[in-house]
Amino acid sequence: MYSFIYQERGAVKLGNHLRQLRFEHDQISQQALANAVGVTRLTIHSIEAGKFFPSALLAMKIARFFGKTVEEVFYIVEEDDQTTRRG
Amino acid sequence: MDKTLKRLRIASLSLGIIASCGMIYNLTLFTYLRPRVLNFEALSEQTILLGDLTALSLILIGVFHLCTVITLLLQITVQKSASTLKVIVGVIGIISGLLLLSDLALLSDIGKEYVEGWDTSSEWTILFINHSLHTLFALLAFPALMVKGKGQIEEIAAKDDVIFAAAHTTGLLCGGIGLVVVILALAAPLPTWLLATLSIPIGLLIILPSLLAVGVWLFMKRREKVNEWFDEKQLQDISRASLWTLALTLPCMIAVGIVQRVNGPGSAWDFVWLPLYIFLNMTLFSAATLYLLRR
Repeated sequence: MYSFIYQERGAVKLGNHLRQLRFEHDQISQQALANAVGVTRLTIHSIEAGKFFPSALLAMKIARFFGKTVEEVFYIVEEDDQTTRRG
Repeated sequence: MDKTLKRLRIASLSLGIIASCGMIYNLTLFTYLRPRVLNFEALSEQTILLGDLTALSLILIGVFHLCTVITLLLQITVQKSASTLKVIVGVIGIISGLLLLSDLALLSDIGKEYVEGWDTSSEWTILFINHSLHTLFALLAFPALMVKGKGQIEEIAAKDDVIFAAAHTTGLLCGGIGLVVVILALAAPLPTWLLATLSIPIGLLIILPSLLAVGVWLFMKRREKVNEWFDEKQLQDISRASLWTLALTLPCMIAVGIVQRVNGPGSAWDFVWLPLYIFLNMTLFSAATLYLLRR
């Protein structure tokens, strides 16, 4: 089951499957992912916890690291449609 | 590096034990000497000799301070083993270490003024306050040193956040200490001439650990381009923290400006507004950054 951590910004929320993807990739640590995409571990932690929106560039770097598209890692959830967009 | 750090840690602990004995010796001797010097009683040759030994004791305490601060600094920067206690001990260590120089000057003054027949009660008070800080440092340094560094961690952070957080923790502590000192100076209230004389040296003494922490952070960043110093979340955090600091500092400084105008020229506010502004900025900016960083 995919994680459903999201962040609210107006009417839409941003969810991500980062935690799930890390576990699928040999349980790679937050630090290793942070090193791979050139940010701090706390930044990855905040994105994963849904407390920080990554920039488009960082989102693309993360997606490329996992061999996925940005939409496969991050997703937009409408306020009244929270369950339909789970990956 | 791990072996060097282990040796430094052991050396600091050993020096700490010796320095603690030195502090006990100094405090015992000062307690014995103070009433006699204040009453201008004659001192025996042995007592004077015992007094001279305090200089040796102060040197030992100084070496302990230096060794401990270097050990903690290396544990934080090299081993990425930072804790609030280590940062607190580092800050107190730098301030307390610098005050050892003032101890030597005070002892020299007491000796001269005793010969001249002048009152030395204020010098004794400062000497005891300084030694309270040295004792506090020793008490906190032991638990901080007892905790071993993590050793070279398996995953070295390409983008470091430990030094960044440690620099802001130091900023928060120094700013907080500065604010307390300014408030106490206003509440006492200290005479204006004393504020005019002491505000700059004491302010610099309090800011020094923070400058050192920022210096270490800049040193670690020396090979990176300026636009790579922060990652995007850190940049967002310091931007927000700056805005909060501006929003909170402005009304406070407007209030200080009004109070200064009301009191007229030559009041204590003429000498404390700048330290107050700097310490308020440091405290708010570092506190906000740390809060946002850990969110």
